[in-house]
Amino acid sequence: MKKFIKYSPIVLLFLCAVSFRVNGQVKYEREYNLKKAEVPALALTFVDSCCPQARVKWYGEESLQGKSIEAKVGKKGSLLSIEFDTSGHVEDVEKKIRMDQIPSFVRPAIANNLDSLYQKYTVQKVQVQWVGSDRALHDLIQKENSTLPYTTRYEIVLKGRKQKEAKMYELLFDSDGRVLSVLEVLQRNTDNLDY
Amino acid sequence: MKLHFLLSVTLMLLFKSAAWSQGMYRAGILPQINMNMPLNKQWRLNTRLESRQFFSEGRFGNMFKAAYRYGLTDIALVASRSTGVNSSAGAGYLIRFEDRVMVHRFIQQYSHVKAYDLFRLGQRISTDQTIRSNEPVEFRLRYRISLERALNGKEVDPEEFYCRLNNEYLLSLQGGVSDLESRLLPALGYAVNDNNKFEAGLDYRLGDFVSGASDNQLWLLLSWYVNI
Repeated sequence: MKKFIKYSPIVLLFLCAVSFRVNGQVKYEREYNLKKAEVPALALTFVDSCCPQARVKWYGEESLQGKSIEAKVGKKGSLLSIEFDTSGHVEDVEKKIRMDQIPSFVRPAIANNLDSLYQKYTVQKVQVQWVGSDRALHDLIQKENSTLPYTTRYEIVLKGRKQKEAKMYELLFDSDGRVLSVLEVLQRNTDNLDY
Repeated sequence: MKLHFLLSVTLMLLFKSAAWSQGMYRAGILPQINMNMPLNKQWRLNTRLESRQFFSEGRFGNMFKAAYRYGLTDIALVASRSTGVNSSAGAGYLIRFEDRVMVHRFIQQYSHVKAYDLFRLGQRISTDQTIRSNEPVEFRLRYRISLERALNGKEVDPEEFYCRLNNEYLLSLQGGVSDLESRLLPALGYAVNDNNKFEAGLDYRLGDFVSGASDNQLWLLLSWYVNI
């Protein structure tokens, strides 16, 4: 035992050397920082025109659906996520809101759906999502409404308990509170923050 | 804001300690393997092997002297049960081999991790009871707050670097004497994938500042977190 203790640093290094194995895990999304110079001109022009002087952070995203570009914009105390395709065409805009900012005629439908899906749930994040033409999205970012056609959806991230098991979910609702999609959010390993 | 406050207090204490010329210091290396094994959907087992090697120790104000000395080895086993999506409660046992003496420690802990848009915040509260021969049992209450931030993008993806900052406070009670220790750890990490992470950081520990002369420890912490 004494020898083991004395040579424990060597044992540690040996263990590192021999027992290392790459335990691959399927990753559906990978994101990374983008410099302004790497962002398509169309996307830069769109953000400059609708959010002049706002603080912008650019990210590239890769998923099974392909690549996209995201701008995180802080505008008048609210946080916007503007998603573009790789050529710089705007795809959708998401804005972080509170649950009580969802219109009162939509909230009961969402609540009923959540009650039927989960035994218990806690909402973590709510975003309103707008999909439409460049012009409509420009109006929505600036005035939160547009005379041009657009679609409103609500994205809710929550901790939900089903069959005694709690997981994180991302749900998308249409403007009437109907469920469009339910995704389970894979939790990253927390070992280095737990121990 | 709370984190800011904690950091400010810690930095203040660090500066204060530097002024204590009679304070003790110890410096060295602290390699660590942290192995985690899920047992089922609810339970997981954490095994930690850690060793301390001293490279220098002495008193502030005296001449700096470098001298290698083997310190100790810890082997710890903690079984945790998930109590929510990002929280767990666990209990375990640690055995320490130090100067031909074995020290026993019983550990209870609760941890919670919350993911924000750009970082993850972990909090851990734990208690432990340390048994050494011919000494009263030492009781400790610990609180740790950790912040992890990816250095590229919003989340730590495989083959990416990240940084982590830990701040911990330990309140101890042994034989009617209480004391407080503060720890600060800035670390740089590399995620090979979600199951293999390496971290290197400077672990500064300031102890004995209630009882008088400060005990300053500076460790080069080298950790490998592996999920099997």
